[in-house]
Amino acid sequence: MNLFHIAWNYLWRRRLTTSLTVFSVAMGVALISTVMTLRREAHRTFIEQSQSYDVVVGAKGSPLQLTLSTLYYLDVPTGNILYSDYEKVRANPHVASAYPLGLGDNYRGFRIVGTSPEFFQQGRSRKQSPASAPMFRLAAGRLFEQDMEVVVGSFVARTVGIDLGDEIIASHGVVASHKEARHEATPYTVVGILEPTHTANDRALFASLSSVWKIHGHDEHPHGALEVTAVLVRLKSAARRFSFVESVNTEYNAMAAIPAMQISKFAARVLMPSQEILLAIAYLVVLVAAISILVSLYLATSQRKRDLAIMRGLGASASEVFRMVLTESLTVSLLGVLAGLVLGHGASAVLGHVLYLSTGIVANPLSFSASEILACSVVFAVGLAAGLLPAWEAYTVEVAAGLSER
Amino acid sequence: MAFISIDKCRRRLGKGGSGDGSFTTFLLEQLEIERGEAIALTGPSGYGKTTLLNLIAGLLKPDSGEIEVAGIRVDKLSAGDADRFRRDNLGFVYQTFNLLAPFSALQNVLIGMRFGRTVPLHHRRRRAMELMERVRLSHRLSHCPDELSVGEQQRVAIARAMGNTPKILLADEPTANLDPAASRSVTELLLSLWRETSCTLLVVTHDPAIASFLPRSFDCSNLLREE
Repeated sequence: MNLFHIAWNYLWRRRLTTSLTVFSVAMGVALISTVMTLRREAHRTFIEQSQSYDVVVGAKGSPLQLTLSTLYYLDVPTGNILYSDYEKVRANPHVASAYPLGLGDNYRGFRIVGTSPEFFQQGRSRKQSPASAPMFRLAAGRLFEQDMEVVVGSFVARTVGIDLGDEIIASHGVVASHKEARHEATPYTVVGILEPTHTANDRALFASLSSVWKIHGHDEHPHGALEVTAVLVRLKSAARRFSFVESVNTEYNAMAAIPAMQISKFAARVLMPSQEILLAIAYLVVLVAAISILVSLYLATSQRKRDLAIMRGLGASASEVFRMVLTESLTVSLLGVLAGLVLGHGASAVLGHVLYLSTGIVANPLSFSASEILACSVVFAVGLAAGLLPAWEAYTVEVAAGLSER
Repeated sequence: MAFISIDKCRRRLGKGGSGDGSFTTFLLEQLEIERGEAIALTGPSGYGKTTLLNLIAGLLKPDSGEIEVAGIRVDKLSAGDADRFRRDNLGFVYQTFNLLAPFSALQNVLIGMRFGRTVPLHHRRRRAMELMERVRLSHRLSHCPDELSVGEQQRVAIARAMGNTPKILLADEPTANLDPAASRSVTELLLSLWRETSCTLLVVTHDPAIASFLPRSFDCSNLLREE
């Protein structure tokens, strides 16, 4: 019989109270863990994805809107730019690669992206070669070779149940799917299905730019009037981003934005403050949980002063009964933290899936950070501290009075 | 020098019952008990027998006078030293048994040894089993106190008190809550353990029949006075 064994027996004896106290600590920790995990993972994947390209070029408007609509397919595009501007960008000596995007249609809410075949030959990031870390791999079929052929992102294929050879009808607009706006006369044929990329591209369908022009009747116009929605640019040197943006903004009838900066600003101004509020609520829950540890242990200690006196009579020192009560708060805190982490990361998995469904961003629910471990340590310490007052009650118990109770 | 020696011991206990501002005071001129002796501390309830036991155990400190037990000045001990003194020298048996309710009979004995620390860790379980057999409760090891009869509970308490082979066994009204048959059985058990271990046995009792089993009695009827 060690002190933990004795403390555990007392906790088990009042298991309903113990369970409720553990649960209240767990709820606080779960909230903290979920907010921290999703914040960290969303931030990481958002930033990672924003760093895939040095610059995005599109129609004049909001740089953030341009970034969100082209990298994450989240917002409506700012408009279109001339195809000739894309060609000028591609021809710029500082540009390593430039991928045109033509947006405007969707299939059951998933965007159809017109692009060039080179789009599929890129590495996952600007530093990775297509050979060692390709952004795209085919799970089945092939890439588009002709007009009206479409390659489907993994999430779209799985969600909608598309297979190779299926014909799909695009709807006009990037989100709406009105029957009257459907391009019934020009169906796409599915020729390829991509493996998951864990980016927003999993939630898109890809066709040639000329398919997008054809479906909107632009292919009959002279080449110079053709348009693209945006151009994703990788420069030979990232250090040239600012000068490149400046040159585009002044020399082209277009706007350039640095995605990494836009997303960082967006995260700092919009995402982080709301998450800070959630985190503050979580810490409040922990405080309430700590008070519940204090109350339950204090009541339990008061109710068993006689037992504590008996232990003292058996030879237990005052510090031993102090440590025994502290062991109870330590056990409740530890169980609460562990249960909270399980609950929190379970909730992160569920909410991460919701995030993936809405944005294509994959959050790893099993990831831990130093700040999360620190937060759990704080909760643990607060729970332990909540046991100090009851432990002191035990320390100062009147042995003779306790033993002589009839 | 006697094994237990009390000399001119005085302890104020609280306000007296007369309402004139007087205090009830415990006063014992002298008591000497030899090592290995068995003694009944007799007298009616509320006359200071338990106070005497608490003073010997270091649970109460006298306001004046000297108490020496096993060569140790108990009246001079700090709280921590008093804890160690009890741990190393004493075993307690109480009127209300004072078993720990969340634990089985065997665990109660083991907890006594855990806090006593005189038995090596790897011998504790075997010794606890032997003691439970000695008090004829080896068939009730896993039963919690509320599943035992009062007589059985007192026998568990005795096994627990003997766990650390105490030099002195203090029994405070050990038979007060028992029926006559169980009282006799518990008294015989205490006396046989006393003979086997040669410990010093102090039994507080208001029952002359129980006191008659012990070789010596000390009358506690005049220990309290109003001052």
